Amino acid sequence: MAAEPEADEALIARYAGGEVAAFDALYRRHEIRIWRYLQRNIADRALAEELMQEVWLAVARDAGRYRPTAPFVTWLFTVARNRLIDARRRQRRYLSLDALAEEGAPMPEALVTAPAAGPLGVAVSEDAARAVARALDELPHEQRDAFLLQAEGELSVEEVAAVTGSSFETAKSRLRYARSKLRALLEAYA
Amino acid sequence: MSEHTPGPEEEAQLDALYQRLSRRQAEGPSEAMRRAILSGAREIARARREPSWQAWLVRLRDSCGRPAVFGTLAAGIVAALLLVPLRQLPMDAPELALPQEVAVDIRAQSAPEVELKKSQVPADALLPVPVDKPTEHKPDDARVASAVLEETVVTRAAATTARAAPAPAAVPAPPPAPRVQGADGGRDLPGGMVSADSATNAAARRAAAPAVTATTTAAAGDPGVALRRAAAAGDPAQVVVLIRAHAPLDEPDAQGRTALMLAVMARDQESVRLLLDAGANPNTTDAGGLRPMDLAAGDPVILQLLRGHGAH
Repeated sequence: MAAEPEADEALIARYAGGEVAAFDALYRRHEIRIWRYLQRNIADRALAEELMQEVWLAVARDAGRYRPTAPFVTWLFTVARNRLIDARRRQRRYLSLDALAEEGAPMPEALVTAPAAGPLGVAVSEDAARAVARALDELPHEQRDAFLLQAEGELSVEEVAAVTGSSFETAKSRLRYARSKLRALLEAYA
Repeated sequence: MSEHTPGPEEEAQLDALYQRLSRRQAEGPSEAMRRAILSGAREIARARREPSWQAWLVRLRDSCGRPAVFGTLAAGIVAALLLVPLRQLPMDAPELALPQEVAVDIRAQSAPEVELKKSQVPADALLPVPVDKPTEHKPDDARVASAVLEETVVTRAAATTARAAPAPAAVPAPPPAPRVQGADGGRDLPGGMVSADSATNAAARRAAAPAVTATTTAAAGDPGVALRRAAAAGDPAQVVVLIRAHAPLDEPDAQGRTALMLAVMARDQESVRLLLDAGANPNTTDAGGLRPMDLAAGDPVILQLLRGHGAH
């Protein structure tokens, strides 16, 4: 029987104690979730990578101060969200999906569905990705934030509530409204 | 657009559609970035193992390397060099005595705490007391705070109204309220006073913005709520006024977040400093278990401020 994977909280405590391998394990465990959350919010890959580095180095620097009063993943996404807010203020490059959604504008590679074979497949993929970008852009900021934390960060409703500083009911309601609007906006692709 | 609320099955269908349409190649950042992050984490772990005095020197060197910090330090040293000799002069030196009219103003205060000072302290010892000391409760402060609160309520509510209801003239105006009431249904603001002018003007402005709901007015009129809003909005000017008006510093919102936490989340160093200096608790925990130190992760300036005020 496979051993239970070590909890995030134990790994970050080990890293704070000097075990570098524990950080590697944490990073590999959460890399994709954080990356997708950042990448979906920041269309610019270079900026997303910069933020990715800032987030993880902040985690490394502050590991000694982390206390398991909150789940590690909540803390991690709080750091990531704060970095996004800083980046929006700093550069005003917060996912300008209006620009992305313009016909003919090239979609960032990472936002496009793995293309089907042939030029038609690529066109369909790009069209779908643009429709998703447009639909997300039409959501109110809070709904969009909650939805991306869940859809890309794979957070539970409780975790979304903790990261966004809202109540469970508020987070749940935002997610419901976001899904309802997305469903209507993406109906043509269903 | 449909406002239909999806059930669990529809939610799952939407999630599947979203994943299908937006599924990205299952790759993370570039390998170079991954290596940079892991190598940075190794460096940080190594630095943490260094003797503390070495780490302190590294931090000092890093801090001094930043132009803003270096400039502040240099200005502080120059100011200290200029001011120390002045403070060593006798207090009765004529060039240091406060103008007579200021002294008269201080002694003329009728508030009880000022009276107490007058009876206990020699009159000339009152001269160096800063007139604008923020921790002392002064009726003027409360009046200013109340006026600012009124202003905030009306301005923000009017903005909301302007967005929500473009034709306010069609709605009858509510009767003007003579005093600002708290969210708990009747508690007055600290100081409990609004100048007649500000109350009248605020009532007139309220009449011009009739769609303001009772909830909005009550919530914004509560000093605790107002302080949290100012902190979340990164508005240190409002924060300082509300601190002077004795707004409750550590009153949490429904999610357990205090004004300090919200200021940290807003990355507003000035509000964080003001709240900490005023005595806000840096070790509170919100409903999700996060502390101000957790929320400040990655911001060395705010972390330093928090640590300097006993956060752990």
